[in-house]
Formats: sequence, C-alpha cells, structure tokens
Amino acid sequence: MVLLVVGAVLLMPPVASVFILDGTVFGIPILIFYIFAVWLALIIGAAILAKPLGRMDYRAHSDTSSDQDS
Amino acid sequence: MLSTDILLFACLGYVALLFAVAFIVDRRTRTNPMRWLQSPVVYTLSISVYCTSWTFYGAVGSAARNGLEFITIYLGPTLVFVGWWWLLRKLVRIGRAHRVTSIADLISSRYGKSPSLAVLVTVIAVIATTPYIALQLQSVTRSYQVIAGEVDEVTTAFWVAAGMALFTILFGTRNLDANERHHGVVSAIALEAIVKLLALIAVGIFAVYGVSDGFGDIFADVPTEAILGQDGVFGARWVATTFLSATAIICLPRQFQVTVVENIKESHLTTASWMFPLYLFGMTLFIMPIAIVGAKVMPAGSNPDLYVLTIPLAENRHELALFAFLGGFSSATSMVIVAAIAVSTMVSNHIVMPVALRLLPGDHAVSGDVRNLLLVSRRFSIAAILGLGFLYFQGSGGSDALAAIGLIAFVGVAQFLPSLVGGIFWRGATRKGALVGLVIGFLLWAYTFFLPSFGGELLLSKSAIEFGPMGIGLLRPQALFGLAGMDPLVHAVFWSVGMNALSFVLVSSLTRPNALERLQSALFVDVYRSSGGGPSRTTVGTADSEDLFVLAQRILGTEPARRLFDEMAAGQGTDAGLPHATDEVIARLERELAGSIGAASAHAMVTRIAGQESVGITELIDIADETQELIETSRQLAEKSAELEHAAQQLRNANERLKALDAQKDEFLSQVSHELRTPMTSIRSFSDILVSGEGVSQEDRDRFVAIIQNESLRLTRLLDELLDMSRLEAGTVSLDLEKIEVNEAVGGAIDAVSGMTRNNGVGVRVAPVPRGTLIRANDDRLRQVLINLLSNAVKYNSATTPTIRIVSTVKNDKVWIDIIDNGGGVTRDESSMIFEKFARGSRADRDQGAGLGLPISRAIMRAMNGDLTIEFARDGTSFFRLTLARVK
Repeated sequence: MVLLVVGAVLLMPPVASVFILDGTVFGIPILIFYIFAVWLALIIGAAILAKPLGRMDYRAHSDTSSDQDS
Repeated sequence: MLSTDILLFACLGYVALLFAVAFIVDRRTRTNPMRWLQSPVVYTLSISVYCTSWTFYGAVGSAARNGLEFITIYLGPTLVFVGWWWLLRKLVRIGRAHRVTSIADLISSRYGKSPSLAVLVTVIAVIATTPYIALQLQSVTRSYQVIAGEVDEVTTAFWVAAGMALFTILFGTRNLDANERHHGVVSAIALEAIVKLLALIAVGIFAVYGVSDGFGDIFADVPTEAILGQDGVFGARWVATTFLSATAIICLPRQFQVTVVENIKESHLTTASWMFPLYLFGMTLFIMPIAIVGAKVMPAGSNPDLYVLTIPLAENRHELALFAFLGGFSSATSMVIVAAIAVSTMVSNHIVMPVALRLLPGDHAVSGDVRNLLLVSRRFSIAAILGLGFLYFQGSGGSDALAAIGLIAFVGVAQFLPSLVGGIFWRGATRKGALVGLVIGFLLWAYTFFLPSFGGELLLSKSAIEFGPMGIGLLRPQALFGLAGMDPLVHAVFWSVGMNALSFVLVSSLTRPNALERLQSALFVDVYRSSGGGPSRTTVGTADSEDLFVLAQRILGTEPARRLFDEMAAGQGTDAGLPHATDEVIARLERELAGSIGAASAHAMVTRIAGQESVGITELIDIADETQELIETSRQLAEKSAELEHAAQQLRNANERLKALDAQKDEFLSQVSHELRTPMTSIRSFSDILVSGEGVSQEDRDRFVAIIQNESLRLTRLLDELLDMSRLEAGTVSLDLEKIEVNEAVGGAIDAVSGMTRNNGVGVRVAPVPRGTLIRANDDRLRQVLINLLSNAVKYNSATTPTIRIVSTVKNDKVWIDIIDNGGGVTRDESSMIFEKFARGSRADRDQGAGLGLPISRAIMRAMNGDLTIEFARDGTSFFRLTLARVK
C-alpha cells in the first residue's frame, strides 16, 4: 500500500512534471531516466517487501488460517 | 525479402512447438505433476498475457505518435502489483474458496448468485473483447503482409482466426476441470511470454547498437516534443490511462483468468508482485529507442506500428525480422487463446447453460449429457468469439492506430471495477446497485466511446457524433452535457466509470440485500475469516441422494461424480452407497458444480432438485453486519453485568443480615452489661461503705453484707442463666429424654412452688389428664420450665383473688399443658416480643428478674422437641401453652 501511494505520487503530475528538463543522464533524457529509475526502485521495493510476506504466507498455509490483508 | 514458404514454415513450426508443449504438460500433470511447472515464474509469465501485439507493435507506434504516454499502460499494472497486490490476493482467495470460473461468475456469485448480473457482465465482456481480438488478427495479418508482401488481407486474417480457434478449442476445452485450470495452455502461454520478450529486446538492442551508436546517439538530436508528445505529457490523459491500465490488469477477463482462475498457489502472487513489473519494465525498455530510430531510418509515411518489423527488414536482417514476427505472432496468439477461453467459459456458463436448463428434458437424463453440452457450447463459443473478432476486423477495415482499439476495450472492462472492488470490500453493496451501475456505465461507454469509434458507421451517424443526435448539442457523445474541450478518452472515463461508481454506491445504499446476498457478501468480504472455503451456512429443502447423484453425473461425468460421492459418503462414515443428502453434502455438491458451470447455474440446478434455498435465522445472525456482531457482544455483556448485579445484590443482602445480627449482638451485649452493672453497682457501693468502716453500726453492717450477698446471688443466677441460654441456643447441650407421667410432673412443680403460692394466697387448680399419659421429656428441665411459668404467674398476678389453673389435654400425639392465670396476661402486641431476651412484660418491675426466664424456657422446650407458646382464649385473655410429644 505504501508503494502504491509513493509510486502514484512520483509518477503522476505534478511531481513528475518537475522532471521535464533539458539535458541527459548517460545519454538518456532526464525525464525518461527518471521514470524508469522510479519504476525500478518500485520493483526492488516490492521484491524486498515480498520476502517476509512470502514467508508469512507459507506459515499461514501450514496453519490453514491466515488473516493479514495489508 | 523473406519467402512466404519460410514464413509459413516458421509459423507452423512455432505453432507445432506450442502444441507439443501444451500436449506434454497436459498429459504429464495428470500422471505426475512437474514441479517447475508449478513455480511462480510460470505463473508470472502467464500473467504477461497482458502484453499483446498492442504492446509488441502498438507501443512503438504510440511512442512515435504521442511520445512517452505509452508507458502509462505499463505503469498502472506495475502500481497494482507492487502496491495493491493484496487486492489480487483477496480475489485469488475468494476464487479458490468459491470455485470461481470467471469474472462474471465472481460478480454474480457475490451478489446472491444472480443470473442476470452474470449475463450482463458476459455481454459487456464479449463486446469489449471483440475489438481487442480483431486488433490481434489485424496485427498478425499486417505483419505477415509486411514480410510476405501483398497478400489478401481478409483471407490471411480468416486463416489466422481459424488456426487460433482450433488451438484454443483443442487445449482450452479438453476437459471440464473441476477448477477450470488449463495447465497445458498456461505453459504454452509462458513459453510465448519468453519468446515475445526476447524478440522485442533483440530488436531493441539491434536498433540501439546495430543501427545507432548507443543511447546517447539516439537521444542526441531528439526534440523534446517527440518525448513529451504533442499535448504535453503530464495531462489528464496521463492520469486517465494509468488508471485504466491499473483497472484492466484486474478486470480484463483474460487477466482474471490467468491471475485468479489459473492460480495454483496463493504464495505465487508474492513473487509475481515484483517479477511481473520487472517483465513489463523489460518489455518497455527499448520501445522509445525503437520509435526514435524508426522515425529516423524509415521513409516518411511508413506505419510506425510496424517499426519493430520494418527496421530489421530495412537493414536486411531477415533472421531478426523473422524472430520479431514470431514475437508479434506469439503475443497475439497468447492473448487470443486466453481471452477466448475466458469469454467462452462465461458465455457457455451464463448464457448457454441457463437456456439449456430450460430446454433440456429433465426426466430421461443421461450421464454426462450436461457436461457434453457444455463442452460443445464452449467450443462453439470460442469459434463464435473469434468469428466476431474477424467480422469486426473486416467491418472496421482496420483502424490505423492499434492503441485506440485497445483503449476502447480498457474503458469497457473498467465498468466491472466498482462492482468488483465494492463487492469484496463493502458489505453494503447490493445486487441492484451492481446492476444499475453496470448498465449505466456500459451504456455511457457505448455512447461516448465505443460507437463513435466506428466513425458514423454503426448506429450513430457522423453528424450525430459531431452535433449530437437530432442536433441536440447537450447530447453530443464526445461532449456530453456540455462537457466539451476534453480528450475523448478522459471524457469517456469520466462519464462512464464515474456515473457507474456513483449509481452503484447510491443504489446500494438505498436498497436492501436479500438473505442470500447478505450471506455471500459476508463470505466474500470476510473471506480470510472463514476457513477452507467457507462451509455453507444455508439450509435447503429435502433432496434425494439419488437425484443429486444423477445431477452430478450429468455435469461432472460418471467417474468424477462417483469419486466425489464416495468421498462424501466416507466423510459421513457410510461405507457403501450414497451419502445422506445433508445440508453439507448439498452445499459441497453445489460448490463442486460451480467449478464447472459457474455459481449461478450450479445454484439453479441444485435448487431445482433440492428446493429453494433458505438461510437460517441463527446463521444470518452469525454472518450479519458488524453491527449485528456488536449487538451480540453487547447482549452478552449485558447478561454478564446482570449476573454481576445479581451477585452484588446477594452480597448486599448477606451484608444486611450480618449488620442486623451485629446490631442484635451489640444490643444483647449492652443489655447484658446493663443487667450485670446494676447488682455490681450496689455490691460496690455497699462494700465501699464497709471498707471505709467508720460510723457504721453493726446493724447496718449486717444489712449491707446481706444485700451484698443477695446481689452476688443474683449476679451468679444471671450468669448461670446466660450460660444456660447460650448453650441451649448453640445446641451444644443434649438433654436426656425419658418417659414421664404428665400428672406427676405437674404435681411436682406445683409442690415446688407451694410455699410461694401459699404466701401470696394464690389458689391452684389442676385439670389432670387420664392417668398413665406419658410424655417424652427431661424431668428436671420440664420442672424448671413449669416452675418458671408458675412463679411468673404468681409474681405478676395483681388480681384480688389470684388463681392459677393448670389444664392438661391430650391432642393426638401431643400433650398440651396450659397454664392459665387470672392476672390479665399480655396483649397481642406484647406477645410477639415476650420471648425476646431481656424483655419484660408491662406488669414486671425492674427488679424482678433479668428477663431471661421465658427465652430459656422456650429454648428448653424446643430442645425437648416441644414448644412454648402464648395462646389466646376466646375472651381475649392470654395463657402459656407447653406442647410435648406424647408416648403411646
């Protein structure tokens, strides 16, 4: 849920509009670089979060009962 | 130029490979499931059916036309998977618990297994999917044309559609799996996902490093407008398309199929939560470079939608072009196959089945007939859906921009969102709300977006689109109610999704759900709370096990039905034969059938046999709103506090009694000390006089000593009485009872007080009982009581000629001895307190005894199983009566 909010704020106007700039990073225009960088950060964040959640899930399966929906 | 033969050969070879994979996996899963096939990676790859040829070809075209906007189509799903995957998890959990077969099934099941909702959702899904399938046919046909040169577009499209239909029918409807899973197809889709990703990346790398000289070279002289698009990148359209794509990843029938229905293990979602965004990331990484390179390299006027193919061709890299073609081909086929399976399942379960249920003869049923009917209807549905797609393609003549068609489908399926999300998070959502929301959203979508996309060729004329129907400006489809100046997409999303959600919430708030809806809403919203699929909490009418078995056979086939019923029978502890048709059995059967034919149809079939389902009152209370739970809790609390109140009341009562006893004790003590104090005071004062000695004559001295002795005797007597009293009351003394002659006992007592009576001139008369009347008593103690009563009668008698009568009477097994004097007796008021300790009658003087005589007498009588009472004669005079047990 945190990632959803953070991602939506960073990738939607007005925050994203700030990065409409001339210039390049490693030969890539700043805006494109910014969007892909945020994207990659979101993926990494999700992968980090998925680990404990995944373990929790397996435990929950062995208990046959689980109740954590956040 | 590649020859048509090589191209066809590659296509057929690729399709053959898919066949082989699907076939082997299908067979292997039956005998021994391969573990790697059940890995989260395969699951994630199958979700990438999201990337169709719209992505493969269209994204580049979109990037060339509108700059960075194409990326929103992938940002939306990324946000959902990264940040809101527990919504998907809840869907998966519900899907598994209720054997959901499609999104139409889920929505109808949630709203009380409503058949009308299922039909509505199915119709919307078919209408929204048709252009999407046409889009795939178009892209395959165009790409084929690009490589093979001019061929007949319609013929090619027809064969492509036919081939896809064949593949889908072969692997999508091989069996009616209980869980509607297609392992073979999923594996083939996963393979296709790899092919399309590698193809796009290969073309991208070629474009960046083969054609150009790295990223720096590509972006070196690109004008900012090319990146931002004509209207500037971050507008309402950016937000709207992100929202739409986020919606689509949840609501598209094919996405629902792979994400929810085909899910093997819930935990796979955690992996997909980051791996699927990563896949999208890889797919889009080279889109922008390819678009820019294409614009540079290709001649002006060439179709940017096909840059992925034309760039390698222009550079004479035929093998790369062939690979790219296969990539596009695989993205198109995977989408068409999954979408056709998903939509055909809906059509056969929700439209064909209910009709067939009415038409099919119910009496001479054959095992597996419904099952066969389903399979056939599913096959025909697949063919029909692809046929519709083909007709749309032929009719529309192929829109130039692929992206536009995709967005029409996105807005169409976005209509499911309010009912779906509202249904699994909001208990208050009702069937009527969902129906009204869906209908309004669907109509607005058709009016503002779908029909205008035909450019005046379907229902709405060109002038109607531009100036409104019949020239009514307010009703212009793309500026509804005067909302002009908006992008058509944003406009359509605003009206259709906005009004859909609004009416859904409004109508839901105004209507009340029926019992089954209420039950289903609780099961869906609290799916994590109920364990293992939620045991049915409904009761149905009576059903015959035989009928149920026939029904199961018709739908599941003989062998699976037999297995299911054997298992249920074993669960009931029955070794042979059919299980009893209990509520559990019927509910379980309905759930199993729902896995094949959808909840609404299964419900209809089972209730046709078992009678109307009804939800019990206690069950409703169990599952009803949280307010209900609160009421239940507070009721229990109230009960508890009432119990506490009761206990407290008892404690208070006990306390009152203790207080009263305490007060009695205090009073008794003060009386005792008062009684002791009087003789003590006189003893002390007289002894003081004697000690001081002087001026006291011998005569006085003797008198004083006599007084002291008298008072000491009185003290001793008082103490003796107190001791006697307390022992008698505590019940520590046990009296030896013997047989006594009544007249003798009375005579003895009279003798003992004869001196006293004679001195006071009291006459005593005795009315004896017949001789030999025996009583059980203690001789000494009885005499003590008699003497006490007689001396009282003498002492307090103020009559001029005092007399005492002693009347003995035999009454059954009792003997009464009444002592009657003419001294006036006591009043009725006094009689109640005459036996209290230290109480004296009104005629007694202070000095005459401590007032313990009567209480002691009564205690003695009671210790001898008798009693001492005051009785009143007819003329109102009182007398004492001794009651004693008679011995016969």
